[in-house]
This record gives sequence, structure tokens and C-alpha cells, in this order.
Amino acid sequence: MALIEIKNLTKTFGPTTAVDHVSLDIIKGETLGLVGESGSGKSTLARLILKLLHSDAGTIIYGSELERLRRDCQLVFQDPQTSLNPRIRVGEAIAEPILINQLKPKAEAKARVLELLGLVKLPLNYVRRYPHELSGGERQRVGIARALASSPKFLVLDEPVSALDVSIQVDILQLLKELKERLKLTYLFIAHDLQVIGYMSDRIAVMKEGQIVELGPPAEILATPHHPYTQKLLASTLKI
Amino acid sequence: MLEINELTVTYPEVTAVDNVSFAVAKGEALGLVGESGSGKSTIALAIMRLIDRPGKIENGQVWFNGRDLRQLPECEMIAVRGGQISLIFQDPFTSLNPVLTVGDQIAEAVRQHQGLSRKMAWRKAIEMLALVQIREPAQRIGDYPHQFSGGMRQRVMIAMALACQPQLLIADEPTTALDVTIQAEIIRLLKHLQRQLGLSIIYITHNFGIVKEVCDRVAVLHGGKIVESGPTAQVIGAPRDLYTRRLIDCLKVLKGN
Amino acid sequence: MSGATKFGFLIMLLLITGAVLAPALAPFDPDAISESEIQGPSARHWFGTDDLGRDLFSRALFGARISLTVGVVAVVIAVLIGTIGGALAGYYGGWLDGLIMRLVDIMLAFPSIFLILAIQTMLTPNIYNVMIVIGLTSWMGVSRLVRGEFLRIRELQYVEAARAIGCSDLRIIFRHILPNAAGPIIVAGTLGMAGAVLTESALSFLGLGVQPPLSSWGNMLMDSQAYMRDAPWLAIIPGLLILLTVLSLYFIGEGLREKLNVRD
Repeated sequence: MALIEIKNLTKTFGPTTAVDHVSLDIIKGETLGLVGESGSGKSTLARLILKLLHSDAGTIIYGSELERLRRDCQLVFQDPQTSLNPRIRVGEAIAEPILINQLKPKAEAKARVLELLGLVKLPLNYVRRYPHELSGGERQRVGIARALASSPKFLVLDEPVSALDVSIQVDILQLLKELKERLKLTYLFIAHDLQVIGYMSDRIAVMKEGQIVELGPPAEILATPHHPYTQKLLASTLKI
Repeated sequence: MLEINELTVTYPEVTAVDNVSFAVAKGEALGLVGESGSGKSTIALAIMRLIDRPGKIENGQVWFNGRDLRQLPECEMIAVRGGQISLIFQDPFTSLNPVLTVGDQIAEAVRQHQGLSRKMAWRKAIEMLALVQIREPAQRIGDYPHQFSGGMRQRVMIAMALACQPQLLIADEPTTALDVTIQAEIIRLLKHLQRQLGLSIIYITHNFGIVKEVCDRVAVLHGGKIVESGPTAQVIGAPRDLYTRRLIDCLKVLKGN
Repeated sequence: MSGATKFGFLIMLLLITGAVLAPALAPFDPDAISESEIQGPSARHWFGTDDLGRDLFSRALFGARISLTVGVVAVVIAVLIGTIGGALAGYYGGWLDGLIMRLVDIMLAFPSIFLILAIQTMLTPNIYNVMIVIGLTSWMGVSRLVRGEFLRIRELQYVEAARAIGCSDLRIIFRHILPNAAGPIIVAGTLGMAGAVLTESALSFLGLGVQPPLSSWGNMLMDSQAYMRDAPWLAIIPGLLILLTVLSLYFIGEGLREKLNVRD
């Protein structure tokens, strides 16, 4: 069952077509991996889906669970260094989506923040800390907690681990897998690293110059890719 | 050729490099692997004597061709930098001056160290562009950095670094800012140049994949200390240190599928 | 903190204390004629007396109240206008940005001292008009600065993150962008206050600022003109006070600049 149906979606910035007639279904409960290099249009596609950008043409049909877009769909950013406001404490940052969407009265929001911190496995006393007092991995956990605060059904993860050290990457990826099971989420997982994508995804979409050039299960994409670009990407991946 | 002995670099609140020793032979590629904050970039700066205050080289020697670089007068050190040891950085987008053509920038490096005439330096610059496999070097030489893609700019940086025939190249995360397909090309280029020119290279990286691809030996850094070192295949295949094993295991988890 | 900054804070603290506690500290009524002639500095009159025989130390203390108040109020006006203008221009861009920035260009095209003089000759020169006029003619720098900061911060990820969780424009401007632009604004305000103190002195010196019998350092300077040769302290003391104020504000501004930049 498609949670989100995208048909012929197009977005241009001046002379460049960032997203070029993309059609794609995101199925409820899956992790759809979207892989591509810089400038391939993957982040633009994500922002179109979240309506942070307006498309030039095409349609996006949202499932009935995603009625209230700003609450039901959330985004986790690449760089936990810059995606948190340096002057806002961790607790307030996580509480913000709850308060501005008036999901809970202020008194109850506090308990919800603590619950969310527990969910992403951060110590509860981090509520009072500022982002710069946290490590990169911890900051990304805060970013995840904040995205989960409005109890969304769908998360876009835009390169959530590429700014982190390898050992921390695996921790965060495992946490994301766990959260997905527990909270019955659907993920659009964006990355440039085929290994990371392969580890996370149920299906992989390969994007190049605004178009989806190949779509299939990881076993197929990572073992017998059809499109020459996917083959090149695979050959370029340096494994140990 | 390069031998570092008990090097210690401190900043007011941390010891960035803690009693580190290693050596690089002629024609050898050594990987210095570590995560952020492990001190790997500080080692590069310490070799070049580019540690800014309040950082300080507390102890140790940096032997290069039988001379301790720490004892050299600054004027001789300038000749070493770029002349005998070259450094390339992670970000090709900010390491080139946007208002000068790439030819000017390569020629400047040559003139500085080899005292060639303007014309000779220019010819040398074209040669260097050809060496790093930029097509139609004679045409591209007059272009500005913004006319080059990220990968091409990193090639220009390599051309600048190699223009004065250094014996040692220190590459500090040379491909981290680049796309994976471009990364593979640059790594292939560096490997090729190393053989062709008999260069020694120190790769500073967080990426064991790169190390496996190009390094003969590897030293793993953690908290400013070398926790393990040895031939690449041995360290990756059978890591002895706990931290190294954890890093390798993480990579295996990702590789798993 | 550098020595110069410490010096700046110390001097400002002294000046502000003097201004606030002027009624308690002043040994004489600043407007009362306590001597029959000009006197040089003495144990009785620390800074001497002026041409009318008024105690100069007391007048300087009360003058500090006026000069510093004018400086602070003028800067608050300038910073408010500049911040709002710059924030709107930087955040929304487009025609609003064009409009506000052209207004800034026009304002900057006037040599501001002549503009102020022209306005002041039309208005009744009193202390309120001085503050308002200085404020209205010195906000442009702040608004350019704030616009620049907004253009930069607007592109940062935490602003997009705020939008993604459903924050309104006003909330993004005031909660997410403005606090992160506060450092440069505070620095500009501090330096702007130095400028305002100088402008007030210049206006009062020309007789278009604070009017007698109220004393400000500027009109104390004006009064001293005729006696420059016989009673140089009449000029030196208010001159020195202005110099010290401006210098300390610059030192403080530089110190704040360093301090506030570290965080980002």
C-alpha cells in the first residue's frame, strides 16, 4: 500500500532541472533508500515531498495517515552541527514541535521530552545542555528526538550519518532501525554511500541528474545492477 | 626517509598528539587512520611545522633525510614546505584562490621554489596539468577555479603539490569532500603518480576503504596515540587492538548485506 | 579579556556611576553660582569653576547624565529601526528588501551631520529632539549588518529544521535567527553609542543640541571657547570626558566582538 504516491514530479532552479519527472511510490512500513551523488536532486526531491519546496509540475498524493503534513512527516538532517540552533537548549529544541503544534500543554510537554530522550538513548539530564556541549552522535540523537516529537508516521532521513565517524554511524543506523520497528514508521533514507543504503533499505532508488535510473531490492541493486551509473557507483565504493 | 620520534603536540587543554613514532620509507604509502579528534591532522601540521599558537610541539624529532625539521631555521623550513614535502587538504573548494587562474597558482608554486622564469614556469604548469590527467591542459591552464568541478580542482591541488617534485606528499583527507565516483578516480590517480614518480605518501583519512586500496602500511590513531600499526592487510584482516577491531567491525556490519 | 577592554569597562563603570549618583556626589548645585569668578582646579573645586563661577565637577557629573542618556537612547532607537528593517529585508528578500535597502542608500547619501543640523535648526533644539534625530539618522549601518546576518543565518540548517517542524515566520525570525545575530548587533550598538555621544557633543557645541541651563559635555565645551587661553581646563575637562567615553566604548566594542564571535 502506497503511503505516498509521486507522479511526474518536476522542479527546476533557473536553467537546471533538479528533479526531472520523477514517479515513485513510498510503501507504508518500508525503508526506501535513495542514493545519488551531490547534485543528483535527492535532497530536492525530499524537500518537495515535505512541501518545504514547491514543485513546478507533477503531483504527490499523501495517504490518509499523513493529513497534517507538518506533524506527520518529519525530516532528520545531515549535519547535527548546524541543524540545531546553538542558542537553544536540547530540552527546548525537542519541546518546540510539541508546543508550536499545540500537541500537549506545557506541563505535559516536559514529560514527553524526557520520554523522547529515553527513546533515543540519551541521558535525561541532557535537557539542560546546549548543542555545543554534545558530541556529533549525541547531537544527531537530539535531531532524531526532535523529529519524533510530533509522533510522525513518515521520516525523511537526509544523509543522517554521513557527517559522523564510522563507529558512531553504525550506532545511529541501528537506533534508526530499532525506532522504525517500535514506532511503526516509514522511512525515506537518503545517502550517497551504497553500503549504508544497502544496510538500511528494503528498496533502493538510484538517482542521477534528477531522474530515478534504477529501482529495486538491495540484493539486486548491489549484486546485479543494470544501469551503467549504478554499476559505476558500485565499482567506486571502497570496501575493506 | 621520514622518521618521527616520540612526537608530542599539546594545546592548552588537550594533548593532541601523544608520544607518536612512525617512519615512512621512500616510495611507500602510509595510512594514518583515525576518527575526528584523533590527532591525525595535527601530525601533518607538526611535520610541516605549521602548528599555530596556542598549540605547541612539546617533544620529539621529525627526521627527514637525516635532518631534524624541528631544528631547522625558518628560512630553510620554507624551502622544505612545498619543495620537498607537500601537503594537500580536504577541501578543494576553498584551497584555491578564486581570483587567480589555475596556471598562475601552479606557476607561482614553481617559481617560488625553483626560481624558473615566468615562461618556463608557465610551461611547467601545463606539464603538471597533463600529469594529473586534465584534458587539454594548454587550454584549461588559463581557466579560473570556478570553471572546474570539485574533482578537477583536487587534481589542480595535486598538480600544485607535485610541481616542485617533492619526495613526500601528505594528503589530508584528500577525497572526503568529493563524490564517491570522483573519490575513486582521485585515489587511482594518486596511486598511479606514486608509482610513476617514486613518491612517498602519507594518507590521513578516516576511511579504511581508501587505506586498503592504496596504503602499504597503516597506523591507527586514537586519542592522539598510535594504538596499532603494521602492514595494511594484517591490520585490517586481524586487528590486535580493541579500538581497531571495533572500527573494522563497524565497517563489516555495513558491508554485511 | 584584553587590558584595553578592561580599561574600557572600568571607565564606563566610573562614568555611569558618576552619572547615576550625580545628585549625591556633586558637591555643589551644578546651576548655582558658587564663586564670583573663574577659578582653576583646587581642593574646593576639583575641576575649577566656569565663567559664571559654577562648580565644574558638579556640572561634569550632571553633564554625564545628559550625554550618556542621549547616547543610549539614540542608539536604542537606531538599533530598533535598523534591526527591524534589516530583519525584514534579509528574511523576506524580494521587493521589500529592495525598498528597505534603497531607503538605506538614500539615507547614507546625505552627509548625516548636515542632515542633523538642518533638522535641528527647524525643530526646537531640546534634548528629546537630539536623541530622536540622532537615532533616526544612524540606523542604516545596523540594518545593513542585520540584513547580512539574516541572509547568512536564513540558509543554515536549523532554520530549515524550524520550518520543517512548522514554525511561523515570526517565530523563526525572533526565536531562531535574531538571537544568533545578537553578537554583531551588540557590537554595532556599542560602537554606535560612541558615535552618538560624539554627535551630541558636536550639536551642543554648535548650540543646536542640549540647551542651557542643562549641562552636557558638548555645551560645556561651547561655553569654554571664549576662555580657552585663560582657563584651558574649561575645555580640557569636558573634552577629556568625551574622549574617554568614546575610547572606552570602542575598547568595549572590540572586546565584545572577540568574545561574541568565539561562540559561533
